[in-house]
Amino acid sequence: MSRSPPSAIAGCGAVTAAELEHPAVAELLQGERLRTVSLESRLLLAAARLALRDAHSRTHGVEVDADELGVVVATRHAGLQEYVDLYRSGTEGERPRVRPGKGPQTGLTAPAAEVSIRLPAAGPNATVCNGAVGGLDALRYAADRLAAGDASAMLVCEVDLAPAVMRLSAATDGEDAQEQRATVVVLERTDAARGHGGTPRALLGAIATAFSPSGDAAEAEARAVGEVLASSTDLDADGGSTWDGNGGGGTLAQLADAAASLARGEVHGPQLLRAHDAGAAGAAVVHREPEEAR
Amino acid sequence: MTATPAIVVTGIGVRSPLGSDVDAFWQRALDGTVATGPLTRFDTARLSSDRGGEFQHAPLEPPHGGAPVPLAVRLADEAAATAVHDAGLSPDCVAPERVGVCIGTVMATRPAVEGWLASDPAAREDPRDAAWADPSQLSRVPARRLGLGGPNCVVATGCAAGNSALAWGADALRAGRADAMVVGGADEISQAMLMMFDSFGLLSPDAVRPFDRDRVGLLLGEGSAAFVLEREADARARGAHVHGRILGYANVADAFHITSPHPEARGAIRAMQRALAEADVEASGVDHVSAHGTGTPANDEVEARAIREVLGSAADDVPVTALKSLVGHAQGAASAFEAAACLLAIRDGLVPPVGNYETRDPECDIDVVAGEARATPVSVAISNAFGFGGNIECVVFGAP
Repeated sequence: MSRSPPSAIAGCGAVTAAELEHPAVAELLQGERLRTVSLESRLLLAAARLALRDAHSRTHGVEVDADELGVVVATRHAGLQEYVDLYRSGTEGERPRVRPGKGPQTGLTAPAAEVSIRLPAAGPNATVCNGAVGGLDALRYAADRLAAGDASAMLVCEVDLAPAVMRLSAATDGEDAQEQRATVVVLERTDAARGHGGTPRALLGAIATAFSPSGDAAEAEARAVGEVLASSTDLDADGGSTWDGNGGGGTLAQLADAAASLARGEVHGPQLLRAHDAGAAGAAVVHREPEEAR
Repeated sequence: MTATPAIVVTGIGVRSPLGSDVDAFWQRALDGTVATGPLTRFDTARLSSDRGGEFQHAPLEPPHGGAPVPLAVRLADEAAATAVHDAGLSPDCVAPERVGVCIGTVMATRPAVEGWLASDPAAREDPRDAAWADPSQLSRVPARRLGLGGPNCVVATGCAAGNSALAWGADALRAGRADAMVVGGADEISQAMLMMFDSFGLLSPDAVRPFDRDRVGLLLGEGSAAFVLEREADARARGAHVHGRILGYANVADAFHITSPHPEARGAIRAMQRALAEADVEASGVDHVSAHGTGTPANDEVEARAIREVLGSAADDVPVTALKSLVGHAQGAASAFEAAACLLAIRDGLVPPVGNYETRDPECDIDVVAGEARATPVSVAISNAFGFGGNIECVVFGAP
């Protein structure tokens, strides 16, 4: 199997809904006209700016041209609540009260679009839906675009808020609130990162996904894990550990934690990130840059 | 450096307002049959237009597994099954766990929430278990039906999603992640989307007239088209019939406005140029442009500018068609329909006409195919797809 060369994890950013009013986060959105923009888009925009700041500090201030900066978002529910609200505003009451400014927020692609317009980021732009595995699909798309030379850097994003229409009762609101988060990881071509003297947190190696038609996620995950490990035999396996994308915060949050732990020297060896979702599954390897390459 | 493997299309399946099989779809497209008409599934009393391109041609098979399945999922499922049958894919020739599925969409399962909202609250199913809550059904249901265990996902790039799914599939094959990919696009008309476009003042009261001076807007459509992609060497080795090649593709963001294209067509020009560069095709080598061609005043003028800029003087003689004039804007299925039309244009040397086209617009200085299908050799066709929010994906198709 051929594979994309490793990509450098140049920066990370995450913002929760509860943090949006915090002055440090609010400052990231200052000057933006956000009246009609969804919560998902606002969270993602703030997280993207945080991630770019983090990457900027690690890449000696190198700026990426807008045409060379891409965005890929993993989500399941982006825009769902806006869709429900628009439907209700058009069907309830004596006459429709659809607000044109709200319409574009009903789509799955709205967060990726808002980020691309407001940064700006005019490189490749896509949104992927694959449940908890979507973050891995987004990483792979970004790695493909970098390897193909379509972008110099990619913002890999994950946002999955729990829309009100999905909440059964006030009792579940508290649980949902914990998941109101957007995470963004900046990926760069490794050669570019080395070229400008940056210090990436870690490198993203092989990524694989699989699907079990019978719904056996364990079987699909075993195939995906086997594939990425087979592609990572050149890495020293000592000190490896596993990160669960179905755990807290989502797949990209786990990736960011793994990368940060590698950068701090808290873990060593290849870190295996995996996730599954109703028959779909995927895995990726995150590792430190080999000494000889530094 | 290893050469990038050539990617070919070996199977096509279509469920469209023009017909529920490839032959009917293509013959009616060549005839210039306008399949938009009065909407039958929606209360249009509150809308400025009562028209659209509904899928009405044949009853879809009953849902699999008993649970209700959103229309878009059924459309994707059936088109995928047809494409796989057309390709002659079987476990004897390709291991099922090496075959993936990627479907492009705008709204996926979301329209089905409308029935849930309109139902008796006491009788509603748990929203966490509802089919409308999981857009992944669009690619997972066909994979379950067909027993396919390769990479599986739904890609949403607005109205460019059908082309994006083709590109994602080609990526997977080029990288060796799969030995065949079932890709395509699917969407259904929904009340909310009708209301949204109406609120923008973009719904045409009667018909879609891309590039016509008197164009006033779009109509929504629905359906699905699916394809089987393989590496050419694999397809030839198993003796598969090859419909055409995917020579190149490019995805960029306009990064300008959430609903309006860049007035100088900046993103569209970049995407067309990059796709042609990847295909290693000069502007003079393009034989046909399948336009995004929504029929809205702004889109068509900007797109015509992009075509003129990219093709230069060659644009004088490159036939441009716009399938949305016949089927409406089928959202995620739109560029999938247009991909099928490109491949069939290459096969037959015929380009379908733009429906409802009567009056040339001097601001759209391109060679619009008007009146009847045009006979012309087509070896290379480029298909444009532009989405709300600035998603742009162009794909270049070539002869087998």
